[in-house]
Amino acid sequence: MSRALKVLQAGPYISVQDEGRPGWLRSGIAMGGAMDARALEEGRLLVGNERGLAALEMLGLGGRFEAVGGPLTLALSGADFAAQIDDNPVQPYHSFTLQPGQVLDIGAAKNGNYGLLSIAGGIDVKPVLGSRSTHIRAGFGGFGGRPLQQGDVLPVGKAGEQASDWSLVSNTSQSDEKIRMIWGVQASLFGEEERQRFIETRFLVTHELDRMGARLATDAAPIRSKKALVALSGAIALGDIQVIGSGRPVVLLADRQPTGGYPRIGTIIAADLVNFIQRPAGAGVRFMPVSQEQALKAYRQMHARRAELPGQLVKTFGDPFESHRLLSHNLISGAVGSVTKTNDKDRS
Amino acid sequence: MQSAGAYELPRLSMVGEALLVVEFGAGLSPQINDIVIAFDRFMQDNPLNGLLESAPMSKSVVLRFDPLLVSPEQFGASVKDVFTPFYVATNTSILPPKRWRFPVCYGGETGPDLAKIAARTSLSQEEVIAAHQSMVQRVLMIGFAPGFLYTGMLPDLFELPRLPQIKPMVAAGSVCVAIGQTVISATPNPTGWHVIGRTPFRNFDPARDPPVVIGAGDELAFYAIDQQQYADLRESAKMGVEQTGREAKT
Repeated sequence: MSRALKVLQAGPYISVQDEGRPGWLRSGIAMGGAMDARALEEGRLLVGNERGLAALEMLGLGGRFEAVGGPLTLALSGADFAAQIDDNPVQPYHSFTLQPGQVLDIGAAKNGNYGLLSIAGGIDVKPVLGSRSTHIRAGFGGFGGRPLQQGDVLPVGKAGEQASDWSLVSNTSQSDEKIRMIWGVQASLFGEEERQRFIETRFLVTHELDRMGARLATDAAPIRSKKALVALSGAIALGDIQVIGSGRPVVLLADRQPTGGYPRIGTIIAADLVNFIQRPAGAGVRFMPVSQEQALKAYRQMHARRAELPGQLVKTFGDPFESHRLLSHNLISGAVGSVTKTNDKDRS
Repeated sequence: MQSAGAYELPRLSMVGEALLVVEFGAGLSPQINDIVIAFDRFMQDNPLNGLLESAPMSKSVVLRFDPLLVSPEQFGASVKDVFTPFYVATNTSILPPKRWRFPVCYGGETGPDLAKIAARTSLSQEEVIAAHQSMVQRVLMIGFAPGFLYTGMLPDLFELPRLPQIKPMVAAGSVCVAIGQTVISATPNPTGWHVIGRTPFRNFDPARDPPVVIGAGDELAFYAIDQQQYADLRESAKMGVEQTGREAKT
């Protein structure tokens, strides 16, 4: 019998996601893919998957899951979700085994928004337009083109060597309200005073956040552009900050519309996107303009750090709590030392 | 190739770290859109180092590249280097467009804003429909949502502002007008445009190969169908579109 993950209960926003669906911009389709690309990569390494396999992305709330047809190797990454198997807590950033008959219960996010549940072998749904990512708005990809529901049985691909008891040090808690951005081509539509006010304003993340975008709020007067609408639609980048009629910014994210006609004041740099999307409702956000060169430097650093992740995997034995305590106290092995050192600086 | 409204040379601007927008003119005109579509084709036929994908917009081409392979400066310079060969090539090789007969069930429940446009312009609904079909429309771009078509330009009476209130959701196949253009959705979407009808055709179907059939540069000749025909065409696989120009089956 082939192995599967059965959904006994599901939070409202759990979907199958992978690295996304590049190359379809000319067909009106943004790349999509996991909101927290770094956590997807971390989860992939923790369960020993090759690139390109799909995981489950959870927004705010997890669910209850059961292994069917054999044991599954799983790992949680991204935002820290309370989780347990039967009555035993499960640590994030640590791969573990779920035996048939056991129930994995993932609760609410304790910090951040987006968590990933990675599975050795990946969620084995059929790729659509080259990706297993769910495009919820258009209803295709992933599992039936929709968020998961109670009773869904997700096929799991063939796993290589079982890879439980690997750990990485999480750096999700390193969240900062300073978000670096580059001024956009349309920034001039706002005038210098409004631009200055924009970077001096402390915005708050609202509950209106999902895979398409995140709306920000402020008590300050609305940010006004000279023109409410740019006449013609142009391409929208991941992380574009759109300021619509209400004068409140909306940050456009993975499942955004790929083109639009409303003025965009700037773009969050790629290296700060994970930090931004993990800011929970109520958290503050301040935009800090940087140059194209600084953005590019940060982009290269982000990729260099991701390339170092495989070397930071640590095999842990026995009680994962003990291992985690050791990791957190930096008491074992030089490799761990370098992890925590990187961690101090790395927000990317 | 240069025409009214076109820039002397295309303007390059970066969006984020990995998108370069090549803008050919300040305003929209068929001539500028022609150049856009030709440049997009040129980019696909002559890919630059680091180019990941090219997509035509109304008056610009968006190039996504890998900033780990080429810096924005290098990439921008290589784009500028191809302008001359591009313009030379384009003068000799503009393909005739594909043309499609495109069915629309106008007015009624599926086109609730048709009556309002008629009232606003002191025309009958039949006259508005006739005006909408009076000129072959060019597909300016696909954007906003999967397979979502922007076409233009319509007669002046369709120079309407967009609605003050966004409609939270309109059905797949909605045919909507504003600012002299028609947009046609393939999936349910919010819209700020005036909904005048619905087509049985869906320009996006992930189960079809290719998933998107009609592309930028193609031409649409709208024709009216009634509700019964709409229902019949939804049932059939063909959905009423028929290619009549370039490469059409004889």
